[in-house]
Amino acid sequence: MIRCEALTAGYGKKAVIREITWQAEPGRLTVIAGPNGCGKSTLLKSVMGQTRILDGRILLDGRPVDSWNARERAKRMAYVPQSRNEVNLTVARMVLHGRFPYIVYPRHYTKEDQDMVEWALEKMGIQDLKDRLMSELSGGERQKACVAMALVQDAPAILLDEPTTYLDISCQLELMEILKQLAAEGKAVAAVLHDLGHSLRFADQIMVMEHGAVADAGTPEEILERGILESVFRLDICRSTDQAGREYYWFQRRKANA
Amino acid sequence: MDRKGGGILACLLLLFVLTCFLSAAVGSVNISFAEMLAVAAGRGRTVHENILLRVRIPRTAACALAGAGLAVSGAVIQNVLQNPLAGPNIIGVNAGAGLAVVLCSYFFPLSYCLMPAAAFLGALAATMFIYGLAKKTGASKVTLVLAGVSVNSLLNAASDLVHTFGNDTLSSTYSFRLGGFSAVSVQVLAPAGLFIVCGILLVCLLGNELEILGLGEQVAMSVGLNTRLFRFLFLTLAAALAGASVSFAGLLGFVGLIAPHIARRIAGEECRRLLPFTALFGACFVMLCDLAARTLWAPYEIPTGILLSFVGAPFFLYLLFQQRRRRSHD
Repeated sequence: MIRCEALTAGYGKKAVIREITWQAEPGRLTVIAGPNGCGKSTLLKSVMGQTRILDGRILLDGRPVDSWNARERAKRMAYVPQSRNEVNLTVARMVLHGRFPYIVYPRHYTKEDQDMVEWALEKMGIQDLKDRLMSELSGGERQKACVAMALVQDAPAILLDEPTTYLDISCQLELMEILKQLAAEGKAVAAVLHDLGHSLRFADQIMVMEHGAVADAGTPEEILERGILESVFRLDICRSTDQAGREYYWFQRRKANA
Repeated sequence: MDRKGGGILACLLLLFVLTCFLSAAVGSVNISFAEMLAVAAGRGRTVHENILLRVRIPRTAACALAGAGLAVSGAVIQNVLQNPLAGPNIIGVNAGAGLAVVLCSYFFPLSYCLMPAAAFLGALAATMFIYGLAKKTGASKVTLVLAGVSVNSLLNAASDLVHTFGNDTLSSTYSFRLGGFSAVSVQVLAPAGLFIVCGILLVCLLGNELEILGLGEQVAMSVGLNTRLFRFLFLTLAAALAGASVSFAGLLGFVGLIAPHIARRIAGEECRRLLPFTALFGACFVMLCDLAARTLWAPYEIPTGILLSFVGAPFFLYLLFQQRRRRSHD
């Protein structure tokens, strides 16, 4: 389990996030929401050890995250970054590298690793793309391949930084359903999301950040009730439910003098 | 390796063997295969034995080693800097090695064994400087290449300065600057060759790590690769390969740029295929260029580096425009 305790972190000596206390819980999809520049991605990068911790600590399975060696840490949490290099590897080969933390002498991927790749590609519904080059894929297909790579890491926690960016609405919904399903299977899933509609609909827990600190955290219901999204994003939220019980949200920006 | 990859590798190996044979057989005196076998059996004519053992075989080995070393060095640098325009001669790695060799020749004129070590240190210093620059400034791919060009000029100017002061002791520096194999000696080739063979084997062994590093810093870290350690290790290996090659072949340009690109088109990006293909292709390419340089204008022999530059410079311009076109499409 990942737990941040009074975490202050940033780049160099400059703190970008301050006094963050948060944990990614197994079986839950946690969405980290907040305006641009509020430190959402920095929080995930800090957990991955890519920023400088200025105060507080991050615990992974009860131990400070930097006390784990890189491979042991990778077995415990996977990370899907916002962007990655365009590579000309096949989908299967790139996903296979998700098994890197488990590779042992003689340093070849095993049959078991290959089977894991097949499983992950099937789970993401992209098994027919396995021999295609990553550079030939659409944004949605590429993102699914990246999530498949995180899946074969077989880590109990998965962190995703804006996974729905650049995806069409159908792909966004499909990806959110997959994340929800992963959480239902017992993984701790945490995603930075910009789409408040997806956040309110799919998340089990929402943490709202503002100016590098936690503004509020709770279930979507609690967050809506407390009106924190309205004040942080300066907007009005309307909610309606159709006959099938599905909820819809509309967002209206508040005028500057309102 | 799958059947297709195995087939292509077998073809390249065949090309390598044929090129080695051609390089050893063709020259001012042509030596037939039967005569080569006779020399191998100890029954050959003395003149053929002398030509083969003292000139052609060391020269062929030097071409193959320098070609393979520079090509793999280029593949590693391109992967680690994630810049397809980077190559050991473009970003100043060769020039760094060159300056170190010139300095070494100036201060220790007869210490042949020191040359590979000096070249390695020079190449390493230039590599780390360029890498530091890329990391610190977040320079774009083209900007990094431009920075490399200026570092190249600076280091070459420093070499020229040393040459000006040490004209007598550095009589061979001119041919060294051009790059070629006419003056290659076994004393310099042996330690450098060992460096190159070990370096290539080590890079091939670490193919998975190199491939993962190419996926980008964040992905590499997330799958448990110690990126800082491996980036340093790979750049050190690239510098060792380029430095060792430069120590006996001089400032050969563009092999480290052309060979990985063509190998990538044939073999794809998977390092388990790419690295052996790059090494073999680089070796064949330099052997063929050297063969052309010493036979096409016979009885004159032009330095191999000049021919490589005539081939490499247009190729680099092609890559540069391709890169710009890709950016404008993005």
